[in-house]
Amino acid sequence: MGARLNGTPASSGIAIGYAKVLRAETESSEIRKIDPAQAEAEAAQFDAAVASAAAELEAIRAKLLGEGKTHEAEIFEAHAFLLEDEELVGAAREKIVVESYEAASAILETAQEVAEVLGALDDPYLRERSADVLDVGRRIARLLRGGQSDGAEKGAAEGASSGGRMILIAEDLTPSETAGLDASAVAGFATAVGGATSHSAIIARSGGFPAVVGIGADLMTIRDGQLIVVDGGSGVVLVDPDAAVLADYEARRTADSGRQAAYEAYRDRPSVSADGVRVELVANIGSAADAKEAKRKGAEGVGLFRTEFLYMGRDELPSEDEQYEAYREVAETFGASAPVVIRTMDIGGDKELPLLELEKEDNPFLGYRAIRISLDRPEMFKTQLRAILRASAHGNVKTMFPMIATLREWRAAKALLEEAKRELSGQGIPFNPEMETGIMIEIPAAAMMADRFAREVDFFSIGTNDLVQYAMAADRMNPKLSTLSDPFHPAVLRLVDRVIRAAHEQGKWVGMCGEMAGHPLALPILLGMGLDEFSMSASAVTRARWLLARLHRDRISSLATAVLDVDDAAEVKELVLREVPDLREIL
Amino acid sequence: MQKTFTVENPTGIHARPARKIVEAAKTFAGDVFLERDGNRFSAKSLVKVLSIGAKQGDSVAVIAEGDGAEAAIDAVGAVLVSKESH
Repeated sequence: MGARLNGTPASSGIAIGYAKVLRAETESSEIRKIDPAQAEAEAAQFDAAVASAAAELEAIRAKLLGEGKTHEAEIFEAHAFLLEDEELVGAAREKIVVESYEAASAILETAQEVAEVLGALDDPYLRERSADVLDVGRRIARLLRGGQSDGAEKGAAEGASSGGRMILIAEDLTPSETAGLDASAVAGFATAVGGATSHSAIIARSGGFPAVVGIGADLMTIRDGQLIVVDGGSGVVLVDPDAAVLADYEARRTADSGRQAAYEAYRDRPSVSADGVRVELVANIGSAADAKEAKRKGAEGVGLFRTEFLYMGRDELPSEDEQYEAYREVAETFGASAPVVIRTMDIGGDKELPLLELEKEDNPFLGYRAIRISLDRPEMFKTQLRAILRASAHGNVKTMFPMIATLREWRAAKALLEEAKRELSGQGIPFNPEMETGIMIEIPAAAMMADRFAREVDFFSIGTNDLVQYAMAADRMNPKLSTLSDPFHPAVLRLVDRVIRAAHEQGKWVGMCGEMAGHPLALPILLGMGLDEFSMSASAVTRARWLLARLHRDRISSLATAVLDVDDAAEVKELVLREVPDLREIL
Repeated sequence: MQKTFTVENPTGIHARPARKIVEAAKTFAGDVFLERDGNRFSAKSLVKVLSIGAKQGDSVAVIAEGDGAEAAIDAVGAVLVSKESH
C-alpha cells in the first residue's frame, strides 16, 4: 500500500506527519460535460455531496473543539460557511444545470475562479482565503468522484489536532519560504527539485527540519493528509507506511531525540578532540538574528557571515551605517574574542539582485558574481569594506572575499580595503588596522594556486559547495547530478588537502564553510588533514563537538592520507566508516 | 434605499465580520448589496464580501429595497461600524 520515494538527503532526522501539498500552479482539471438530460440528476448528486461535506466538516470541527483546539476548529467552521456561499456553491450548481458540467468539474472550476479573485487582492490574509476556497472545492469534488474520506480527512483532522505538525510537500521551496517555516507546525519537508546544497536544504539544516530534496515528479502525486515519513538522513520519503514500518520509524525518531540530548550536553564545552587537539566550531549565518540563534546552539563564533542577504529584497543598496550596525551587532553577540568572519557580498549565481540590473546569463554560476561585481563597483564595495572595518573595532572581526580565482583579484580587493582604511583613518573613525583578511577557496584555480595565495592572505576558508560544483562540473541544483555533486570524491579531497597544506606551510590557518564542514563523515577526514576551523549550520555544531570528543587526531591522520588514494566517493565513505564505526549509528 | 457606513474595524472586513455581514443580510428576503468605489457586491456571499477588501476608514454603502430593507441595512451597517474583530 505504501509508496517509497528516494531523493537527496538534505537535512537529517526523522519527521512523521501528514502531508500538506503546496502547488505552485493551479491544478489543471479537465472539464467534463454531461448529457443535458442528466443535469437535474447531476445537480441532485451535487447537493448531496455538499451536504456530506458539511457533515464531514462538522465532525472535524466537533472533534477539534472537544480537544480544546478552538483556532483549528474555526478554520473548518469557515469552510462550512463557504459551503453555503452562493458565489461558490450556487455558481457551481448553475454550471451543472445551465452548462451541463459534470458536478465535480463545476465545483473545481468555480472554486478556481473564486480563488483567483481572492488571490488577486493585495491583502495577504485574503489571499490565504483563496486556499480555503480551493480546499472546499476539492472536498466536494472528492466526495463526488467517490474518493473516500480516508487519508485526506484523517490528515486534516489529525494534522490539526496533533498541533498541526505537517510535512510540506512542494515542487520547490524558495529560501524565504523555507526560512518562514513555523517549527511548531512543520515537522519536515520534501521537494521535487533541488540538491543537498540548494538554499532550501541549507536553511532546513539550520532550522533543524528533516528534509529530502530532489525526489522528482513522483513526489507531487502525494495528496493532502496522507501520512508521510521523511527520513532526512537517508533521503527516503514513505507515503502511507504500514503500521510495522511506522512503528520502526517512530522508535528511530525517539532514539534520535535521545542522541540530540547527548549532543546538547556539549553545547558549552570546548571544541577539542579526544587527544587534546583544539579546533574552532563556528556557524554560517546570514543575519544578526541567526548569530543569536547560533550562539544559543553552541557555536563559538561565525565562520561565514553571508552579507548578501542585507542587499536582497530591497530598492536601494544598504548604507554604510546600516551595514555597520548589522556587522557590529553580530560581533557583539559573540563577544570580543570570538571570531566573526564577514564575507563581502556574493550576489549572482542563484542569488539575484534586481537593483544591480545584472544581465541574464546562460551560466550564472560561471558568470558575473561576487568579487567580480564588487571589483567593478569600487564605491559600492568600499561602502561595505568601511562598514566591516568599523565593526572590527567591536570584536574579533575578520573579512574574506568570495569567488577569488586569481592573485590579481585578491590584490585589487586588498588595495580597496587599504584605501578604505586610509579614508577611515583620515576621518578619525576607529577600526582594527590588523583585521585579518582572507579569501574563499571555491574555485579550483585558486585551490591549485593556494601556495601563492598563502604568502599574502591571512587565512583561507574553503567553500565546498561551489568547489565541488566547479571541480566536478555538476550543477548543484540539478538532482540528476547529485551523485556527481559529492564532496567526498577524492578529486575534491585532494584539492582540500592541497589547500590546507599550502596554508600551513606559510603558517596561515584554514577554515571550511561549505556544507561538508558539518558532515559527520567529513569531520574525521578534515581533522586528520589538520583543518583549523569548521563552519557549519548552527544546528550541526553540538553534534560535531560530540563527535570531535571521540576522535583521536593521531589515529586518523592515516585516514586523511588513505582517502586521497582511492577511486571514488563510495570508497572514501567506506574507509571512514571502517576507521570510525561509531559513525554508523549517528548517520 | 441606501445608507453609507465607515468601516471601524482595525483589521478591516476579515473573516469574522464578513460572516456576520452575510448572516445579517440573509435574514432579509430580498437582495442586499454593498457598494464601494462604485463597485457593487452581494452582501449574501462571503466570497463577495471578502473580495471588497474593505479596510478601516473605508466608506461602504449598504443597499436594499422593500419591506424590512431598513432593518437589514442597519443590521449590516452595525457590523461595518463595529470595532470587534471576534
